[in-house]
Amino acid sequence: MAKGTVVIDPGHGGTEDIGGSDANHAVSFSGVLEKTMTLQLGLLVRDALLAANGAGHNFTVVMTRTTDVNLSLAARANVARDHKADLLLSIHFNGFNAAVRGVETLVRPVADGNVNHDDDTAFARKIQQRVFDAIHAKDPNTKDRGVKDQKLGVLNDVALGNTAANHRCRACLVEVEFIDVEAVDKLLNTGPSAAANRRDIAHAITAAIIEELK
Amino acid sequence: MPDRHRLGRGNTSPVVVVVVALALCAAVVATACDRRRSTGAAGAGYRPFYSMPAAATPQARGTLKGDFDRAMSAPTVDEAATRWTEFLRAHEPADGEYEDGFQRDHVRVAQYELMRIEYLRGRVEEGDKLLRKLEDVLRTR
Repeated sequence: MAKGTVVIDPGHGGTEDIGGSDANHAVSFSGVLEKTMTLQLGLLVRDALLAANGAGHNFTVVMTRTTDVNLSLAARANVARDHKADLLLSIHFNGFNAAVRGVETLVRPVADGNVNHDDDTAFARKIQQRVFDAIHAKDPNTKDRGVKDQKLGVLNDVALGNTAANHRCRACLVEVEFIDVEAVDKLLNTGPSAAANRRDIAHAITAAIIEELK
Repeated sequence: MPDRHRLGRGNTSPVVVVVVALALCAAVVATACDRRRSTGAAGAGYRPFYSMPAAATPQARGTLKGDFDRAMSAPTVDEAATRWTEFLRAHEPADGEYEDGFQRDHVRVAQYELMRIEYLRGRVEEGDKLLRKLEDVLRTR
């Protein structure tokens, strides 16, 4: 049985840039905004986690947002602090030149004040592996870009409420795929199996969270 | 016949190696010269190091992607320097706290591109300054 408090943070939102959080970044090949996709996937993960409670697990799930609004990066991390969360997962999608592909998961470097880098990395590796496997099963052209260190505001340990002595919250940010690639857009938005594919990715994330909290 | 063939191949091997090596050197030099020509000098036409296709869904000025694409499509090297500087002023987080991988990747490309342009314009000190900044980025990874 797995138990704990999980904060799901769908990246971006709203129409204004607030406190380091831009309203939107990537746009899919067909024009779907990243902020819409992060919310859609975040809600699917929430539902899958709550459904897992019926299977004997015991999760409290908190969303940083459930509508099209933006919060500052600090405010997102503060949600984890205020709920004494065990995990925070920030969900994003990527984009670059309509050709680059892959899944990557980011954690805050030790040099930038991460007091539980090893724990964050262990959590991130589970997310990375599950998400990559889920997408790779549908499309072998995806790439495993791995777990990387990056100074990200939403993963700031002070804002998460972690200290050297007490650091219960593990946190990472997953960049699910590059949505400006036509094949990825078809996989996640426009293709006949897009809804099922999104659900499978949500279940993959849920499986990683269950594994982390066992 | 097979023996003669093997013997002939053994005799010509060093010659082939030298010819291939010379051809490769010539190709490398030609490529390097071409790259220097293609990047141009201060007032010349600007071609970014990495080609980027026009976005399927163009983004507005003021957004990270819109400003990035605008800098990428600058008509001259001088204009590119101005646009990349504006891009970094608007989108590089002052406290180094990035929002996500998208922002980090685009800002990093902008930093490299501006550094390359400064060297092309002969502004070595400015280029070195940007290079040192990129080394900071690399050390954190």
